[in-house]
Amino acid sequence: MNLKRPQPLGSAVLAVDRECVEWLFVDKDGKNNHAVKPVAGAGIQALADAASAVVREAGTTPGRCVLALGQGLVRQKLITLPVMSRRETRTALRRKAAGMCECDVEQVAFTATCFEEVAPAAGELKASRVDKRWLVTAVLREETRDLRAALAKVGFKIARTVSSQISTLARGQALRADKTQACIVVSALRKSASVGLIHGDTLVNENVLEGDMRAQPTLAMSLVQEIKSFDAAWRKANRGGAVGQVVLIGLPRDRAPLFKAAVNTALPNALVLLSNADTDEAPGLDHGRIEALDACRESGGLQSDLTLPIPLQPKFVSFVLIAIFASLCTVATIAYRPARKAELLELEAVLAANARTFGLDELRLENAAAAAALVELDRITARNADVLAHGWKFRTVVTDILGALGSDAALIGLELGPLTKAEFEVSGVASPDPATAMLGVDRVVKNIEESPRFEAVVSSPTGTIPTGVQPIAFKIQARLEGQR
Amino acid sequence: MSRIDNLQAGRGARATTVIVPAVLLILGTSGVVAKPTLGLDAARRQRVQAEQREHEFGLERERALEFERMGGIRRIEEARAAVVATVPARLSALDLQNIVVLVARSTHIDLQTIEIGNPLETTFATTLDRVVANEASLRGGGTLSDIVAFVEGVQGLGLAVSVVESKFSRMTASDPRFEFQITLSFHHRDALLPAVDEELAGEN
Repeated sequence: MNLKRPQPLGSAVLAVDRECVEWLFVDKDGKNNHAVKPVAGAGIQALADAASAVVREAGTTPGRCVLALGQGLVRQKLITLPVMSRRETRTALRRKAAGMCECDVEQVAFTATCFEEVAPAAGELKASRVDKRWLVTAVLREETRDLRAALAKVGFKIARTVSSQISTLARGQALRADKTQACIVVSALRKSASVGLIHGDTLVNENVLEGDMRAQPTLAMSLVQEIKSFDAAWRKANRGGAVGQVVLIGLPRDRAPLFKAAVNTALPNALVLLSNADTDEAPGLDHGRIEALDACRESGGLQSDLTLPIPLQPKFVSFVLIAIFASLCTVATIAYRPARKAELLELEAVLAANARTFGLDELRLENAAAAAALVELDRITARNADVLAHGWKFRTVVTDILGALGSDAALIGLELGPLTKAEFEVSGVASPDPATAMLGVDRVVKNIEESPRFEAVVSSPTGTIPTGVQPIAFKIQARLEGQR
Repeated sequence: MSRIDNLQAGRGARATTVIVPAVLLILGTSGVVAKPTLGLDAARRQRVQAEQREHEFGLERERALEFERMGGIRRIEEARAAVVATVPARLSALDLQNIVVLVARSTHIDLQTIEIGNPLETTFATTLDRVVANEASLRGGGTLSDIVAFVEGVQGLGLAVSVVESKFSRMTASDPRFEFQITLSFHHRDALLPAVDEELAGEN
């Protein structure tokens, strides 16, 4: 039974390994076509040159394609790990991938697909741990990145980066008729052959046999033997459940029927399927190889994408920076001129204002000095006024006292006491007649009391006995108003 | 079916190669753009300050004009000098004695004794100088009008004289002559005393 899987033929496949570069493209008739070019030299540039050459020789141009990494550029391995946290698992996988590539962990790029848990093997203790099976695909990060960059430089636009070997398994997984049955996928690669056992979505086991089926017919017997071993192992693990399908991919067209018959003989109960791609029927074409490369277009199932981001190109970085700089300069130019103009206007206004206020500091100092002088003048004036107002108002007091005595009494003496007390004592004589004298003194006292300058008037006789001849002496004590 | 990979590792570092220069570029250009913008802000602030200064200048001009109307600082100084002179500068005891004798003669006062004491501190406010006082105790005789004229005569000489205490009397009402005892206080200005710490420093 030959199987033809409809594929989107739009994308070409560039398969690269250390020895040759292959180009699978779709010709004008919509058929797959194939070109091969050996790599002249070592290194990434040699691979890119060979890729460029093979595309030119095929009469096509580099474009969007799937990059299929072959032997030497990619490694894959089934690894069993105990159940751990995702972070620990990532670390462990990275270490395993580095081991596969024989490089430091920083230099490896990997992608790992986890399959369902593996039941403990028979005979192990019940409490034994549960493991997980990982299909790890690893590449050297720098090498793959440089390869992608070099291919981009010559015009290839890498849509995906895949492993040739994993792609055939994915194709086999897609081609099988019954997903519930275990399936063996046999892929003839360029210089090796792979045998994988798939059950459901799980890759149970895989083995690679070195050798080219085109050049080594005996490899077919080894493959059949391997298929039988896988079948036996599967029967043992599944208590009699046999492998139900075998998918053959990439076999040379002339040998495929014979090999199919051999597999049918080895596994009589299994359905053997042959993949078949739409190819140009031109003589000399390696149809098996085209089928194997066509598998690289497969995208589901076991397929893994190893596309690494291309490092930023200096040209691109420069372009971005120049674009930023140019836009900022534009903004700056737009913003700068009005800002400068406005600033200039402001500064002119400031200059004009400063010119108008020239001498402000001196004026301020002069005014401050004048104000201080005024304050000082006020203080001195007040102080000196106090000085000049100090003491008895001699004439006023004497005049007032004489006015108060009037014609009722005559002044004999006047004593103005210390200023702190402001008291004074008036001595006088009145009429010899006591009654007249008494009335006279009363009038004097009254006059003094009525004077706004004096208060607290006290009069007293001097103690002499009135004789009717001698004037009667008296004393009056008083003090200045408000001097208590 | 889960997958784990490390394909995107190091993307941050690669992005840094663009982001860091871009940020530096932006900051650099911003620096260029910011300068005039900040300069404009500074100029606006300067203008506000200049306007405030102008307003202040107007106020100061008004004050200056007011002082000018008063005669200006020179007139104030003159007035101060005149006011200061209302209290004379320091007088010696001899000056005071001569003044008293002179006025007593002119007012027909019979002065018997004159005692002039040392300058005493007063309680008047201290300004640029301080006021001290010499007390003069006078004893003598004369008519009441002569005694009053004598006191006014002393005061009329422009001296800051005050009558602190006085006592005058006569034996009979018909006697025109009074015996008197007057204490006059002659105020005059003196220099400020040195500050306490200056004084202490001088002693050391």
